[in-house]
Amino acid sequence: MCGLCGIFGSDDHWSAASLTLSASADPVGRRRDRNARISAVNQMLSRQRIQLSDWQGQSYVLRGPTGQQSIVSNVTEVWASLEDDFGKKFDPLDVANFPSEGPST
Amino acid sequence: MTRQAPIPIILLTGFLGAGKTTWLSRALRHESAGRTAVLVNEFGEVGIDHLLVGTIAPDTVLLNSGCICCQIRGELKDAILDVITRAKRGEIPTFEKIVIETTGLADPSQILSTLMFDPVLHNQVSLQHVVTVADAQNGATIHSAQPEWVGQIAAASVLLLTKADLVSSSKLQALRMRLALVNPTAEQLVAQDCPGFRDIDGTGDSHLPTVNFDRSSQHQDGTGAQTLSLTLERPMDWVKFIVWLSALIHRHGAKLLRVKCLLNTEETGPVLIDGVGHTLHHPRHLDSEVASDEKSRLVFIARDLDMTQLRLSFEKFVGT
Repeated sequence: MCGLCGIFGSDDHWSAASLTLSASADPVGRRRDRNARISAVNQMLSRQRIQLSDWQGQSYVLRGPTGQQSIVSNVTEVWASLEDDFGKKFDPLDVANFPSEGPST
Repeated sequence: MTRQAPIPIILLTGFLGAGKTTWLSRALRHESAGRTAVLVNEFGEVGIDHLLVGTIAPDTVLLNSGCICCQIRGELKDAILDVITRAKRGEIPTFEKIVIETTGLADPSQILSTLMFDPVLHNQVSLQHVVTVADAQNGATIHSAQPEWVGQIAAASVLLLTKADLVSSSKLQALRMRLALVNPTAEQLVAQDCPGFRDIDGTGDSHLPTVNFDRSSQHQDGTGAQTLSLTLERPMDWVKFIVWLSALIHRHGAKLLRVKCLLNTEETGPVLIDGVGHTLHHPRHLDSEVASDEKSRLVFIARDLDMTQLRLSFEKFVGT
């Protein structure tokens, strides 16, 4: 755990696996990876009016348009929480969920 | 305190009567068997009588090769932990690898899920290979009509072709092509040429189709399994891909028989992604020599999934 900011080491979920081998010892890089993941999820949810944000560098918060919130631990839990807490089954193959423009590269 | 390395596991699967037991019995007699613990559902199925030395613990017998063979009663997780614990206590001989022989109708994805996700198991063992035994005589005809067969073939990292000497070379070639359509990521080996575990070591790991797909290709065969293969020239956005894949697996994991990708990312060298159904192995860095052409190769094997839509979704969310 980082003594300064209280952040635990990187989570064990495969979606959080970093490509830089020293990432576990690099809190800045870990933050950057988290932000990139949040941005990628929000791009996928761009038509859902539900957005993901960081929570204390350890978890994530899904927020709906009515103020409804749900805390999730990893990216996979985002999709489960969308179903269970927000009643939305997100299908990445559904054209209605495709972003209006291609991903920014 | 030193932490012990996870014990490698070989999952041996294959349809009823494909020849799993015959190959396993031979491999256990081979000099490369080493100290192996075999976990089986039924002792009777394994045909170990001729290898048997004696009972050394409840549900456990010692084979004349020095390997041990344990019967799985109840949960697989408990069986694995039990055999590890008993070896640590000195009740049974120690071993350096575990082979799990499944029943002919088993769905490997459920076993893999146990091995990968169980919080206790995943620190104690690591999956080395999924070896699927494919019957050259009946594989493409009788077995391929069964959904279990397709799942077992799709999950394989190594496909062992048995009874190859009983069929003509053209029939064997036809089966090879059929298997490659269902699972282009698996290494195909003839069981006769592979008498021991050593012969399957080091194979299948980073094996991806050597066929040069021009950008993308789709295949469909009579088993209902479809394959989508993509080759990308440019480095991939790792985060976008992993987020997209997590959504895909969550929604369509049951239809997604296999995902295997060798990704070239901007950050580092090639990364191997390997998944079966809802289970995804932790991404692994590979030596940069494995894939030197700087292309990313992705293979998706699915049943009852619109592969055209899958490709479109990939392009929209991840980019090409």
